[in-house]
Amino acid sequence: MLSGKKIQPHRSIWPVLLALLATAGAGESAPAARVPATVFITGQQVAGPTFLEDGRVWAPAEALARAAGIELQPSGKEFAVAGGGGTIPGRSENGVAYADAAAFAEAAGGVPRRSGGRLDILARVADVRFAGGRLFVSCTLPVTYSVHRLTGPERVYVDLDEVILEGPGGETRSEKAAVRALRLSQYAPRTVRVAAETAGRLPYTIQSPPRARQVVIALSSSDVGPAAGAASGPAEVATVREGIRTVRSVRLEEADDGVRFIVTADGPVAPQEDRDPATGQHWLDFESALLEGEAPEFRPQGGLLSAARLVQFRAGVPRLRLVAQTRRVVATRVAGGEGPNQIVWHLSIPEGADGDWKRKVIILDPGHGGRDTGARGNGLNEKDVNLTIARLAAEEGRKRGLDIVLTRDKDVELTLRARTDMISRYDTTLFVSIHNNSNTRPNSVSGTEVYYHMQDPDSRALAEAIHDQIVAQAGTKPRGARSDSRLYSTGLFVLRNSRVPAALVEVGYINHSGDAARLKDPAFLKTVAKAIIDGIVSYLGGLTLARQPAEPAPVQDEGAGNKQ
Amino acid sequence: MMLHRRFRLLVFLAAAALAGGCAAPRPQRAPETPGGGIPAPEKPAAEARVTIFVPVLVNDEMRLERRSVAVTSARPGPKEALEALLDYRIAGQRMFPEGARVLDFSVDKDGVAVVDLSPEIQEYSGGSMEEAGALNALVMTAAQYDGVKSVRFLCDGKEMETLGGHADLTVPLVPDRRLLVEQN
Repeated sequence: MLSGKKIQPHRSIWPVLLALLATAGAGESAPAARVPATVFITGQQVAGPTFLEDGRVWAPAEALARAAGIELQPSGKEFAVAGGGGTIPGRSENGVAYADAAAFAEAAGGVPRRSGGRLDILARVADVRFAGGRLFVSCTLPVTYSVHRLTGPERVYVDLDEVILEGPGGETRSEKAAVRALRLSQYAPRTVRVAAETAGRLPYTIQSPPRARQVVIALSSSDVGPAAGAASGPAEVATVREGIRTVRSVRLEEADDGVRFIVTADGPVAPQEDRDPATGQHWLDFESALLEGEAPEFRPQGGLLSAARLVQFRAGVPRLRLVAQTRRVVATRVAGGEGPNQIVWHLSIPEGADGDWKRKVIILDPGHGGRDTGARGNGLNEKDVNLTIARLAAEEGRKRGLDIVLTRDKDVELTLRARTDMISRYDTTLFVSIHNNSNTRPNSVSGTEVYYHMQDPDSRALAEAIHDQIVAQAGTKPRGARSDSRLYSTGLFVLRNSRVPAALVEVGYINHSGDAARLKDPAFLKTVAKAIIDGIVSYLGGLTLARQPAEPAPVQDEGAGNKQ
Repeated sequence: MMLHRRFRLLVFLAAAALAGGCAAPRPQRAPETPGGGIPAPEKPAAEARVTIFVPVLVNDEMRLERRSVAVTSARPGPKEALEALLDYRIAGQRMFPEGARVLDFSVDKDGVAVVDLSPEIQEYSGGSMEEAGALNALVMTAAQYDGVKSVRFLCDGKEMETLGGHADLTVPLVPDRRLLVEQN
C-alpha cells in the first residue's frame, strides 16, 4: 500500500512519461507515481480527486458508490459491493477512502474500459421483459437512455447509452401479446437497443427517471394484459423474458439495527415501495408476480416491526404485496441479494437516530436571503417567511433539548455551498432546509412538499416524518415526500451536497392566495415550526407513531379467489 | 503601378462574383409545377421557426410542452431556440429576467452542451417548482439538437452554482423525458 506517500508535484517529465506508458498498456508495472485521471460511470463523471497510480485508477469510494447508486461495505483495507461479488482494493489518504475504480466496476456488474488516464465504466443489461403493459429494462448500473418510435412494423425502442451486451443479443416473440416481439441488440459500440414490436400503435409513457438502473416504459393502458407464454430465445437472449414471475420464498431476518426480508423469485424482480403515513405501514408491490405455495407467517420479535404479512392480488395482472407494520420511523431500501433473482428489503433505524435523541446537532437552513428573495407573490417574499419559520423552529427545538444551528439568523445572502459547508463545522446529525414554493401559474397549486436526495433511505425517512407532521398539524394539502430526482437529474444542491440525512421543506405556495394567507398568519407559522421539530424528533426516535393499528390494516384484495 | 494592380484585382473579384463564387444570397427560383405548367408566383421566404419546450401544469405537476415560435434568424440553431425561450412569456409574465441572453453555445465530445448565459440571468428568482420548470425547459430545448446528451450552464463564462437557489448547476443536467406532455 502506498497510502502514506505524498502527492508529488508535477515538476519533472516523469509523470508525463508514466502517463504515456500507462496509455500504451505498460503502466501496470510502473513505479509509484501519480497522474490525474478521470472516471466515468455510464457517461457521468465521478466527482472528486481521481488519479492513476501503479497502473490503477483510484477514485473516492463514496463518490463511486453515489454515482453508481450502490452501497459499498468497507472490509479492512478493501471494499465489497452489497449483494455483489469480489473485493475491491482500497486505500485511505487524508481521511478520504479511495477504491480501485476498475475493480469496483467488475464488482458492481459493470465493464471497465480504460484509455490512458480515462476509465469508462459501462453497464450490462441484466434483464428485459414486458409485463402488465410495461417494458422493464434492467441494467447493472444507472444509465441514460432515449425512447423512440418507428413504424412498419410498429415498434418502440429504447437506446441505452454506455451499455454493452455480453452476447450477440436476440429476440423473443409472442403473437398473442400486446408486444409481439422483444429484440435486444448492440446497436452501436456503446449503445444497446431494446425494441418492442407492438400489435398496433400503442401510446407510450416513460416512467423512470432520466438516469435509471431500471428503465420502465408503459406501452399501453392497464387493460392490456401481460405478454405470456412466449418461447425462450437462444442462449444469448437468456436476459429477455416475458410474463409472470413466481416468487419462490420470502424470509424475515432480524438484527439489532433493523429487519430484512429476503425475497427469491424465478427471475429478476423490481418491486415498487410505498407506505401509508397514517398507519405506519410500508409495503413492497411485486407486479405480475404470484407466490409459490402457502404464504409464510411472520412473527417479528424485535421492537421495530409489530407485524408483517403477504397479500396476493389475483384480479387482472397478479400482484404480490409484502406489508410491514412499523412501530417507529424507519429507513427502508431495496437492495440486491445473492444472485440476480433475489432482492432484500431492509427496514432499519435511520442514520443518527440511535441512542439519546436529545443534544443532537440539527442545522436549520432558511432558504434564500439578501438580494435573493426567493419566490414572490401576494405581498410576501419567500426569504422572510423562511426565516420566520426557521427562527420559530429553532426556539421550539432548543426547548425540546435539540442543539439547533441556523445557517442564517438575519436577512443576508449566503451561497448554497456556504450553507452545506456548515455541516462539517459541527457534529451535525441532520440538515433541514426551509423554503416556500411558487410556480408559473398563480393560484393553481397549493400544499406541502418535502424533498430528499435521490433514493437516499435515511433522508427519505426524514422527509416523510416532517411532511406527515406538517400535514397533520397545520392542515396543509399533502403533496408528499418526494425525491429531488423528480425536479432534476442531479437533484437539489443542498441535498446533494449534504453529508448527513437532509430534507428540503416546501411549506406552501406563495403565489397561491390560500397558502399565502396562511403564511401571513403567525399562529400558522408557529404550528408549522413545531411540526418540523416534531418530524425531526420522530425521525430521531423521540416520538412513536401516533395512529398505529394493533394489526396491519387489512388490504382489500382486488380479485376473487384470493388467499390471505 | 499600384493603382493598376488594384484595378486588376477589382475586375477579378467582380468577375468571380458574377461567375457565382460570391457568397451573397441569390434570388430563389419559383418552384415549377409538375408537368411543366405555369410556374407558381414567387413568395417571400417562409418565416423561420424554432421548437422550444415550455413548462405547463398537468394535474398540479410541472410538465413540459412543445411550442413552435418565430425567430428573426434565417437559419436558427440551438442558440436562437434558447434565446426564444429566454424571451418567452407565460400569461404575460417573463420566465427569465429581462435582458438574459445566450452568449455562447457549444457541445463537447461527451455530448455535454455548454450554455453560457449573460449576467442578467443572476436576477432570476422563483420557487423550486418554478425554477425546475424554467431549467428543465432550457435543458429539453437544448437537448433536441444532435449530439446533446446533457447540459451545463455557465454565467458569463464562469461556473453557476444555481439558478434560483435550489438546483445544482455545478454538474450537467440530463433531459428528463418523463416531463414531456406528449412523449410520442
